Amino acid sequence: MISLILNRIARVVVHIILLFSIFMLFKGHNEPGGGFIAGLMAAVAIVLIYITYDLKTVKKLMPVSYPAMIALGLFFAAGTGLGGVMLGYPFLTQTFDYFHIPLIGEIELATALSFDIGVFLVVVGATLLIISTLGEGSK
Amino acid sequence: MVAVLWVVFIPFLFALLTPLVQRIAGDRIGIWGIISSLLTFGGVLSLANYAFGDEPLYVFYEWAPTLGLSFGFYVDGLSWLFAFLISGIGVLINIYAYWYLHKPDPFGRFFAYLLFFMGSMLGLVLSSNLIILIIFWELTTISSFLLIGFWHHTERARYGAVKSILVTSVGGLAMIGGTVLLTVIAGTSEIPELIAKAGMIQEHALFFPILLLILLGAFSKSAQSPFHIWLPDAMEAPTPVSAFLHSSTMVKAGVFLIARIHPVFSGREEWTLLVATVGLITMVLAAYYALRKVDLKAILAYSTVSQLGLMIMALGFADVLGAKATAFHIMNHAAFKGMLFLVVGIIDHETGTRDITKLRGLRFTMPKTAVLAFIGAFASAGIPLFNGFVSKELIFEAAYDQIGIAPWMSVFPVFAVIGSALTFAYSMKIFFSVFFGEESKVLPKHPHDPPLGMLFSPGLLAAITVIVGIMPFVAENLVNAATSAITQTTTDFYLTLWHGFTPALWMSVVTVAIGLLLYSRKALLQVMHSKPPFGLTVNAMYDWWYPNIMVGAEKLIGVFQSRKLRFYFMYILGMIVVLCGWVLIRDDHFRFIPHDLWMAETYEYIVAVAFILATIGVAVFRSRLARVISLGVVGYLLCAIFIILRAPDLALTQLLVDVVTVILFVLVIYFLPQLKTEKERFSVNIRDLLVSVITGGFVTVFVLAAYSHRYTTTIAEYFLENSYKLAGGTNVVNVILVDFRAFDTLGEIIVLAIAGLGVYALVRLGIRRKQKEDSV
Repeated sequence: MISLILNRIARVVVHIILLFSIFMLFKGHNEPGGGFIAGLMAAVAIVLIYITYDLKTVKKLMPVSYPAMIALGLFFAAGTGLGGVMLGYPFLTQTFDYFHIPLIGEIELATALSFDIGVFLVVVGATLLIISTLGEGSK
Repeated sequence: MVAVLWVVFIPFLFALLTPLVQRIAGDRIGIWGIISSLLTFGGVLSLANYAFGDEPLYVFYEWAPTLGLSFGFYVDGLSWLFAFLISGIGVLINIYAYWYLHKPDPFGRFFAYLLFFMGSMLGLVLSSNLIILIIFWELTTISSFLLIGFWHHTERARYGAVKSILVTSVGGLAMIGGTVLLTVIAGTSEIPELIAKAGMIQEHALFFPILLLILLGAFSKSAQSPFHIWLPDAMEAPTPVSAFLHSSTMVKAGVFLIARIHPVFSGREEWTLLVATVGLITMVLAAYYALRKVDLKAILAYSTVSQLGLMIMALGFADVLGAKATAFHIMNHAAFKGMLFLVVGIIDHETGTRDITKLRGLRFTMPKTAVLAFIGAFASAGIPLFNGFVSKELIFEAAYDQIGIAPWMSVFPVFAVIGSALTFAYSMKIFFSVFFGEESKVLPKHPHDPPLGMLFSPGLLAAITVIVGIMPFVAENLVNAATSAITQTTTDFYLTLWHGFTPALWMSVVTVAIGLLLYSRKALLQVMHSKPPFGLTVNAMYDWWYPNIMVGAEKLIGVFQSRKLRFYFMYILGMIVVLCGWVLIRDDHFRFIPHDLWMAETYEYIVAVAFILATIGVAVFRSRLARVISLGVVGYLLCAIFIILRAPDLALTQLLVDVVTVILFVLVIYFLPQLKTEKERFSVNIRDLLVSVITGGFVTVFVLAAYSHRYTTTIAEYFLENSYKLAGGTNVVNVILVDFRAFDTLGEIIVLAIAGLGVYALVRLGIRRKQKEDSV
């Protein structure tokens, strides 16, 4: 059931969605967005490839292991928490600061971002893992 | 300070990295274990000044301060002594295991488990907090389960592993209860603070229950009667594991705990009554069982149980001498028993059997091993010039001193002698029956001395055994440091080989005399064929209990895990109604201000009507696909409502979740066989309808009540006010997720991860099973 229209559109749209999801991830602290939303969005983009083409294409485009992705995400999130402990603060204490970078201007860096990246990775990994296993398993 | 973290986390880190390193190192992965244990040992050595100096090291990290939890380490004489033994013997075991394992064994897994265990054990002895101690305690239980069941293809190994984890977990659960009670009455779980509050704790009405519960944990871990049953079965583990876990480290965790809480609890009569008596009974019984056994490892297992009993008895005496004797015997026992296990490992490795009825005359073929066995057996028997003698003398002395406290306490010296005489007899049995006599012709393999690598570790332990036996004063500083830590007083003892003609010496003489009598052939045969008084019934009880508890658990779980989604939903919805309803009634929140409820825009009405129609569609449509699409419509309309209410984050999340769910549904349904819809009975339909109506009605009431309360202060204001100030983010929803409630989020993503991996594992397993069936 390959549709030519879907096929052509997906090729373009997937890039936009993925880019937008990363945008969502980084601006989530101050505007709508965040790791969870961005993660789902990225997963949806990849699911779009899956629906348009097949699992093989997905695997070729994204040769990563989803369980490893989940593990990495948990590592980021828990690691952010442990970072605080190492510096003598309670587990999961977050902090932030503002930096001035030439050309770009004032930006804010928060440890919450690294936590959010963890959330992002787990959400993408788990969603894709479930969908791809069910897709594969039901054949 | 960093050194403590180093000591505890290096083994864990190395264990985690083992699978990666194995890809490069292959079968030589043992070297990785050796490196790791050497690094840890070095870390422990660098902490020595805290044990021997005046001030112990106390590092403290906040963990979850709102829950009163902290993460801390405490290094004093006692914890250092244990850390020294664990890491030191850990090095020797790693070296020995490098030569011991055979080709088909998964080397990487073995060393990863071993390091995992070592880290847990070090964390256990170095923790400053009882709660953290329990976490490490349970980690040692898990890692020892994995190690005992290492050869999981044999049934005995699986049986032993399950038994050990069940018996020690029962004690562990009791210990958690005791610790919680203790934390509640003392207001802290930090060990140094508990020691400071010892007076208050001893006066408290809950003193005895707390003591009993915590001791249950210690007794089960240290295999004290009647929990001793797991240790002999744990001997199914590879011998390096037995030598490490079941002689010198894990089983001593109970002894450690008793020593650690000694300053908090000792002084009351209950302490001596519980601790010393249980130790005494265990010591005598286990020594008797040891004499009856013919499997070398079983003898050593019971011997370990018996020696642990001896140590625990001495700790129960609640005086400085008892503590000192225990501290010294812990070291000595670790050395000679660890060595004996390694020697038995060599014998097993080289001859193919551990049965002493088959082993004879090995002194000709394995002379070096014979020397080691000689040293180990004589130290265990408590013969002068070996380390076991000196500490056993001390325990005798402490036991003899008890007569002065109460007349009934004379049972301690009497039974200490009887137990030691039995110990003497089985120690002699180990050495003489294996290495003397004519050479055996029925051995599976042709015996010879092992390679140097396997002799190194027991050799070093043998050297320590002899050196400490002849010159006990070399251990003086360490024993004094540990004793001071146990009793919280500064002690300054001297250790000497010769004490003069003290009562303790005469007790030793009597011990040897009775021991020789017992060892005479006729007595030995009688013991070996006598009926045991009641010890076996504990095992029988376990064997009866285990299958029954499994069946019972399955039935119990079956009650609420019906494996039908509909029931799970019913539980969840039911709980929502009951709990939220209870809160509403309790706080009298059934107040409604309905006057502005109907003031909505036209498009809101349109959305609401569409919402209702779509929901009805989910219930009435026949085709699955139509239902899923209908459900999707509900989701998108919900999303529209979020937009109307200006909640972009929620709307976005809802939209995406909905997309993913619809895709998942379609995926599942697309591949599902087209089954006929089951005709449900009328009563079932009515029940489901009732549940839906009640839930729906309740939620409506709940929302209306909440809406009527919107003028009161809510937590939302706090978040709105502090989101930018405290967390530097203007998106409150996201700040709550990643900062204010980050712990919840962490929990949620862990659940998500487990769900993902669960689906993966289940489906994969199903496919593999299907493939297997197809191929068959």
